[in-house]
Amino acid sequence: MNALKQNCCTPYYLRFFANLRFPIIIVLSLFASSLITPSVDAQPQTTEGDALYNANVTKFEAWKKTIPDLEQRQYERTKRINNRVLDNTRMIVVILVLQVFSLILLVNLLRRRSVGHVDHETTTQRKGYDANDRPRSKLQPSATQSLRGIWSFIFSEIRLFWRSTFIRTASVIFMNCVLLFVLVNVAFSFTGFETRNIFQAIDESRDNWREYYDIEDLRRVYPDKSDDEILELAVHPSGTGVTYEPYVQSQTESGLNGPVTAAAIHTDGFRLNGRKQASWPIPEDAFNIFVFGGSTTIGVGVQDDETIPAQLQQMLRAKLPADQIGKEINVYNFGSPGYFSLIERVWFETLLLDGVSPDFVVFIDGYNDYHVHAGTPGMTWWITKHFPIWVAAESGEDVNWYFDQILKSLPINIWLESLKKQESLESFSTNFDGSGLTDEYLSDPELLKTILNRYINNKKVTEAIAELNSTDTLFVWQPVSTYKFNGVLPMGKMDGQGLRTRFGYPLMRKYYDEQGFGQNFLWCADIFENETDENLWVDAGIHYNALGGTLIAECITDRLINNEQFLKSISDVNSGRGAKS
Amino acid sequence: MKNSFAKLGSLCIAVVAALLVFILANYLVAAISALVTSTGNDTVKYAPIEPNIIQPLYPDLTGGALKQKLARNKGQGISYRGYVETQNEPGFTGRYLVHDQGFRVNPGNIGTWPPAEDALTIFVFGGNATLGPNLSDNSTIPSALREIIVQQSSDLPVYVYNFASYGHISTQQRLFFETLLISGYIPDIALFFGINEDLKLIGGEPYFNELITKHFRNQALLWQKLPISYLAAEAFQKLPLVQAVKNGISRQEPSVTNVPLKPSPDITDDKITRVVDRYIENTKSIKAVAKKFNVVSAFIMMPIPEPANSAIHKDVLSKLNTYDVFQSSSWIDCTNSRTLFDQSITKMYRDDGLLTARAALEIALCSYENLRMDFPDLSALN
Repeated sequence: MNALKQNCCTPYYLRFFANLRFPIIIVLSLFASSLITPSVDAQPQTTEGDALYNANVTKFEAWKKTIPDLEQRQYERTKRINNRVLDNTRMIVVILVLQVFSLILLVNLLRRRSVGHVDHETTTQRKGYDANDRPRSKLQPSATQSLRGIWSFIFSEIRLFWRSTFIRTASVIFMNCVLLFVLVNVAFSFTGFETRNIFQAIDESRDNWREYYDIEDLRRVYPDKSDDEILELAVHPSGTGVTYEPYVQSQTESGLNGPVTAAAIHTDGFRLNGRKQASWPIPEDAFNIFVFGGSTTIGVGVQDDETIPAQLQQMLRAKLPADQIGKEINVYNFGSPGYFSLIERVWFETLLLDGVSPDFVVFIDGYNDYHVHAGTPGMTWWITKHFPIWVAAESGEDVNWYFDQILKSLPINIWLESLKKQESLESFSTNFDGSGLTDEYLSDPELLKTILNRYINNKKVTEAIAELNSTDTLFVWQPVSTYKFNGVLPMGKMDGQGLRTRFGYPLMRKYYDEQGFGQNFLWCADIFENETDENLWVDAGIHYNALGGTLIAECITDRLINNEQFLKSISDVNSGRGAKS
Repeated sequence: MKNSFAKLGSLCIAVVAALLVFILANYLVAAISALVTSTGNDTVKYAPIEPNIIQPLYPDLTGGALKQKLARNKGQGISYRGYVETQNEPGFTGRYLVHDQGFRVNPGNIGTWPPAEDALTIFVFGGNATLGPNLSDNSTIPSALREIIVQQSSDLPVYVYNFASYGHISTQQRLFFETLLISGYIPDIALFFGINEDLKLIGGEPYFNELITKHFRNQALLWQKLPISYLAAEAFQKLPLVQAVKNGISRQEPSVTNVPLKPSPDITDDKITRVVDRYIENTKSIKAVAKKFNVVSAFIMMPIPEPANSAIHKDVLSKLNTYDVFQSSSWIDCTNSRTLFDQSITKMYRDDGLLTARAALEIALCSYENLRMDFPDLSALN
C-alpha cells in the first residue's frame, strides 16, 4: 500500500509513457546493430538462374490473364489456405486469452473471498471465536484451519506481488516491449522485406502447364485421375522445387511448368517429353527406355521437348518406326538435378521394387560424378546436421527449435537477414561450394581414383540388378566444357567443384583405352570437340542447350541403332522373351 | 483515466504472471518426466573400452582423437546416412561403441577397418533385435555367431561386423550392403536377418521417412518462410505441459531407438503379399549383386514375435515357401530355432521387441548350423 502511495502523485499516463523509454531504447539498439551488421553484398547479384526465373514468372503472369476462371480458383484456394492458417492462430490466441482470463478471475475470486473474511471477522465475529461465536482451539487446530493458514500465507504473498510497484512497473514495461515488438514486426511486414510465403509460391505455380500441354496429353500419364485431380497436380505441392524421397534423398518436385522448376514433372518423378510424351504406367506393347542422369539429363534451361531423352525418343522413333519394328519406342526422362551414377542406380532399383520394369536403361554420367565428389547425395551433410534436431523437436525433447524458427520467420529478422549475403541453392551443399578452388585441390589423385573406382563398382552393381530383371543397359559418358571443347562459352566458363572434370576426364579416358568399361559403355565425352562456332550451353558451360542435347541424343542414337544387342532387345520384347510384368 | 491505467497495470501483471506460471508449469512437467525416466534400471553392465583397443578400426587416428571416438554421442541412437536413410549413431552410446561406418564394435573381436584380406570377414545386416542394444557386446547374434565359428571350424581369423540398425527393413539392408561394396568394403559372407521390420513397416518406407520428409520440406524452404502461426501451433503441441495433458506423464525413453516398433495394426492378406514380394525382390537382388562380387549371401528368417503375430507368421512362411528362391540353400529358417536347440526357452523376445541373450545365442546357432550344411569349411570362403 505504501509502495502505491509513493507513486500516487505522478500522473498515470506520464508513468505509462515513461515506461516506454525502455522498449524505445531496445528498438533503437536493434536499428543501430543492424546498421553496423557487415552487409556483404547487400544488393544480391542477378544470376542467370534469377533471370530465367524472372522470365518465367513474367511469362506466367501474362498467361494467367488468359484463363477466365483463374482468379476465382486462386481466390478460393487462398481462402482455404488462409482459413487453415487462421485456425491455428485462433487456437493459440484463444488458449492464451482463456489462460489470462482464468488467472485474473482466480485472483479476483481469492481477493473477494479474503476481503469478505476480514470484514466478517471485524464486524460480527469476535477475535478468537468462530462464526458461531464458539472459542477456537489453539492447541489442536483442525486440518481445515491448517490449510486455511497456508492459504492465507500464499494469498498474502500474491497480494504483495500484486501490489508491488516494482512488479507492476516491470510488467507494464514488459508488455510495452512486447506490444512495440509486435508493432515493429507488423510494420516491417508491409515494407516488402518479407520473403515469399510458401503458399504464395504454390499459387504462383498454378496453371502454367496449359501453354505446353493439352489435357489429353496429361490424361495419358494420369489415366486413373479425373480432370479435376489432374488440375490439382498442376500445383507444386510445396513450391520448394525439391522434395525428400527415401534413399535417393531429393527429387524434383512434381508439378506442371511451375515457376520454380519450369518443367512438367510427373508425380512419379520423370519429366514429360512435351506433347509426344508416352503413356504412363509404361505400356506393355511398347519398347520402353528409361534415361537416368543429373540436371543435364532432366534438361535444366530447356523446354520439355528439347531435353536429351525427348530428342532421343524423337530420333529413335524416326530411325526405327513402329511399323518396322512392330513396337513404338518410348523414352522416359528420369534425370534429376544433382544426381550422379550412385543415386541413379538407387532410383532404378526403387522403381524395380515398385514393379516398374523398363526394357532398356540409359545412364548419362560424368559431370556430377566429379562435382558431387563425396559419393553421397548432395544434401547429405545438411540433413545429417539437422536430423538430430528434427528427431529431438519431433519427440518433444527440443521445443526450442520451433521458437528459433519463429524468431527466424519474424519480419524484422527477415529484414535484418536481407542485409546479409543471400544464400543460394548452390551454397546449400558443400559439394556446390563455388569458386576459388586450386588446381592442386581439384587434381587430388586419391579422390580422382576413388571416383573412378566408385563408378566401376556401381556399374557392376547396376548390371547385376539389370540382368536379374532382363533389362539391357547403356552407360554414357557425357561431354563437359572442360574436356576437348574449344567452342564458345557466352555465359562464361565453368567454376567450382565441376572443374575437377578437367583432371578426372583424362583419367577416365586412359582407363577406357587401357581396360575398357565393357560393351555397354559409350564414350560421348569428345563429341563437342569440333563444335567451335555454335553455342551449346544455357549457362557457364554446365547445362546443355537444345543443340547440345541434340548432339548427345545423336551420339546415343547412332550407337543404339547400330548395336546388335539393342536391336536384339527389341526383337526379344516383340517375341515376348523379355516381357515385363 | 487514472482508473483505466490502473486496470491496464493489473492486466499487464496478470499477463506476465500467466506467462510465468505457464513457463514454470512446463519446466515442472519436464523435470518430473526426466525424473521418472532416470529411474529406469539398466541391468547389463558395460565394461569401459580402452582407446588403444579400437586403434585398428581407426588407422588414421591416435591418442586424443581415439578418446574422442569413445566420447558419448548425442544419445539419440540414430543418425542420417545417405542412401540408407538412417544408421546407428557413431560414437559411444553409453552401452556400446558404434564405428563411423555404422557397425557396432565388439571389443572382444575388434578386427580392422577396412576389413583385412587375410581374415574371414562377415557382414551382418538386420534390425534392432540383431543389433542387440539391450545385450552386452559379446551376447549379440553376430558376436555369438563369431564365437561359434571360431570354436567349431576355423583357424583363420574371423571378424564379424554388426551392421544391423534400428528399424532397417530389407530395402535398407540391401542398399547398405551395396553402398559398402561400391566403397570397396567387400566381405566374404553377408548375412541378412529379416523379416520382422518389413512386417512392422508394412508400407515399405523407412521408419524415419515421415519425420525427414516433413522437416526437409519445412526447412528446405530457402527463399520462403513458414507461417509463424504454423510454427507456433507446432511448438505449442510439443510443450511438456500440453504433452502431459494429452498423454499423461509417462516414462519417456531416453532415445528414440529404444521405442519398440509396433506391428502394423491393419495387416491384411494383400499387404502381407506386398511385403513378401518386396522382401523376395530385395533378396534376389542381393544375391545377384553378391554373386558379382564373389560374396556368399544368406538370409535368415528371425522368429516372429508371438503370440500376437502367430497368424501372420504362418501366412508369411506359407507365402515365402511358394517362391523358388526360398527352396535354395541361401535361405535359413530360424523362425522355430528354439524347438531345434532348446525346448526350455519360453520367450524369445522381451516385451520391448528385443531378444534375450539366450534367444540370440539360439539364432546364432541356427544360422551357423544351416550355413555349415552348405559350406562345411567356412574358412575356405576367404
